[in-house]
Amino acid sequence: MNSSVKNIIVIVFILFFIIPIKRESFGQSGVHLFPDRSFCVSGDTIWFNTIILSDGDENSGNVVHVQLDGLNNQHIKKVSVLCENNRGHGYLPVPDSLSSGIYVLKSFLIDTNNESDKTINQKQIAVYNRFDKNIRDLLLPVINNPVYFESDQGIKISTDKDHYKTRDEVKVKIAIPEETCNNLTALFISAGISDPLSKDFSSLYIPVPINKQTLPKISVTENNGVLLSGKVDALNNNHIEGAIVLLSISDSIPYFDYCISDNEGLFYFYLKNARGTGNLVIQALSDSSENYKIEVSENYIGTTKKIESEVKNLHPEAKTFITDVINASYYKRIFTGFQGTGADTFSMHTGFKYPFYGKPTSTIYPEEFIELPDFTEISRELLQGVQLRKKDDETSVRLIDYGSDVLFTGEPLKLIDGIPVFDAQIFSSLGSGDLKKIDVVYYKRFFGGLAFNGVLAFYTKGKSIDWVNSIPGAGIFKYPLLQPEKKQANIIREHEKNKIPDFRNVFFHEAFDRTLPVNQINFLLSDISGRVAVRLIAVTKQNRISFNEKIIEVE
Amino acid sequence: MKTLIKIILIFFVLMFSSKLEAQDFQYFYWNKLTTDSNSLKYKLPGSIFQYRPALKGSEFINDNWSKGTVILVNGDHYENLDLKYNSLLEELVMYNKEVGAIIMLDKPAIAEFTLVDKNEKISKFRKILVEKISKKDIFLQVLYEGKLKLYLHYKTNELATSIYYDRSGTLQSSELRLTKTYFLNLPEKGFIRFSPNKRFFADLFPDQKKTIKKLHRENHLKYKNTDDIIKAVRIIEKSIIN
Repeated sequence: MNSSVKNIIVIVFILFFIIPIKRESFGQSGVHLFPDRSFCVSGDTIWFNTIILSDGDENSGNVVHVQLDGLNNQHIKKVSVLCENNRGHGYLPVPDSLSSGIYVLKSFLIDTNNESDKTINQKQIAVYNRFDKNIRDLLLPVINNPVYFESDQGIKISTDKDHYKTRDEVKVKIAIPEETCNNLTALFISAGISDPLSKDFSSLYIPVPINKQTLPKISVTENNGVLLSGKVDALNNNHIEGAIVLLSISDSIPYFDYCISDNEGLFYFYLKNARGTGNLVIQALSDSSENYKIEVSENYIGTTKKIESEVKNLHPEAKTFITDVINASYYKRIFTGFQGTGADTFSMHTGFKYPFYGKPTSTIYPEEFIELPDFTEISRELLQGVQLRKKDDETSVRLIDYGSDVLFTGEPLKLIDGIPVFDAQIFSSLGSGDLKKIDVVYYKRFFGGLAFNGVLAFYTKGKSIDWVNSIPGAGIFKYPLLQPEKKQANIIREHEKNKIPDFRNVFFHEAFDRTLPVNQINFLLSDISGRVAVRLIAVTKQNRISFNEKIIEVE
Repeated sequence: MKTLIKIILIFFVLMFSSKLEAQDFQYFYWNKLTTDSNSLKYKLPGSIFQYRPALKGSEFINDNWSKGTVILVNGDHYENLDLKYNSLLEELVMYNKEVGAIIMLDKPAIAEFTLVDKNEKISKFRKILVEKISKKDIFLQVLYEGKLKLYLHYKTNELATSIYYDRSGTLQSSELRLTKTYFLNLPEKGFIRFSPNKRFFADLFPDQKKTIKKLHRENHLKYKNTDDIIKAVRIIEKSIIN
């Protein structure tokens, strides 16, 4: 066999076997985000679905962070959603004051245990500020490397008509070949007004490498939890190393944790199964005589490249569209008022039956006794084995140690609503009328590397924790943890009878795990005319994402 | 002299001002801790462990510290801990290197733990509610978990005995004795306490008596030790339980 024949065989082998195998294994790995729209008016809420497409079996976490950034990497807002079976959904309220322009939605996992280079798949979104009038030009991105989702030629989207009138019902039939159906892991369908400027945003994404410098400097894979990081600095901005940073969350079963700050003053906490925005009390203790300040970081992730942009005049069609949607938003507020996503409640399911100080040796309910004006009286009348001493301006508390039957030589850990208190003045004025219960632990207690000479825990009747702000080196931080589950609001017309104008931009947005070869979806149009896009994103078991779209006209 | 007074004054001013600024942190033994002790896991909670008088027998199933792991109820894992299982109190005891103390870990916070013996054999214990024994959760050693589940409960009791002098020369009138109870968890019947023998299984599956006898004969099933019992349960499960 001569060499040219050999070469031909090798080439044929590569063409027939290696290339098809490579193609089969190729997919859009990483985290992908599918918003319900490609544009919004400031103050709107973007609802989204997200999917984690993993290359292998490695556990890279199940918490997807979705970050709204400007084209120049300027961070605006972030939410964290919990995924189940690699899929999640959530919402991102767009700030009312956000300027008109093109922004990016970055979705990513925080997994510093995985050394591989990571990219963020950015989605673009157009935001029109609701106070802007006559937008003639906008700073538009110049993108060199967008990745377009391929269209699946087998999938057919058809509607009962091609032309509709406002408020009509649209009946959509989606036909998917049976073989494709069996190979799908997720299907996302949305329908909404199509923006001439951002109409292509749904069909593409922009991969950008993560800036590793912005990743947390700690080994973590977020599974059912969110990493909280922060910094302890002196007032002169010197880092405080070796401070013990205490985290407390007031609850019926209070949460407590600690961390020692590193040489950059950094500290980390990991909050599992905590949903909503929590009031986190963080205080730092140090043997340094300096005063210090605590900063909490939202763990925004940066990307290595900024998206180039330039100011461009808008096409007349785009200008008209923007004016119309801004006006629609204005009238929507007049007729239906501001419709946000509602209050963000906080809940944390730790799985633990008792607080971090364990089962109390005794619990006293002051209401069951005569009213006592202050802690001095309470300790004397209600708390056996609690010794209170006052000398000059100093107050000391000691508990009896049931282990040795003598008093502990040091102060116990004192808590108000689960928050450690080191100044007796703070609780000395608490009378029995303020207190729901008092837990006392008369044993030496341990929590990791901390040891306490017994515990004295006061639980108030919902008293404010604002007293924390008066403690040097302590503060209350409102921190968004896992986003609570909410149903997408304002997607269905709810006021048919009242004839209230309907200014919805999005009419349908749902995710499906499995699908039939023929699917029917129906939705009601709003009073906004123009083009309406029915978009379908299909994800296969091989991590291939396809995008199909059907445009209908609304007169 | 004036300079000396100034220095003394400055010293006092500095001393008092620092006291005003820093929070009092005498409440924790934390100043030994460094960033090495940082962990994103829920910290192991517990109380000080008090040793009892040196009675005859042992309150632990492992008198020497065993390496082991602890899994908390929130799923957090701790590995390479120094552990002892106290079968008198039915509590897990740990040596905490960070604070140099022996700690009885909070049972409600623990889901599972393992102990590794000298021969590297791992014994897994799980906290289970067995209402037939106790209204509270108890730790059971997991021996086998298939369709049939086999567990072993260790319980040490303090029993009265004739008077004797303990190791410290104190007069004692009781001793500690360890009892082991086997439990089977069946798909429909739940937990059953049993004495491992041929008759137990024959009575448990009365309509399969012949098969059980045959299985014992063919497999030479014995009940001398835990391994024998596990083997018997495996074989019976395979043949009897669908």
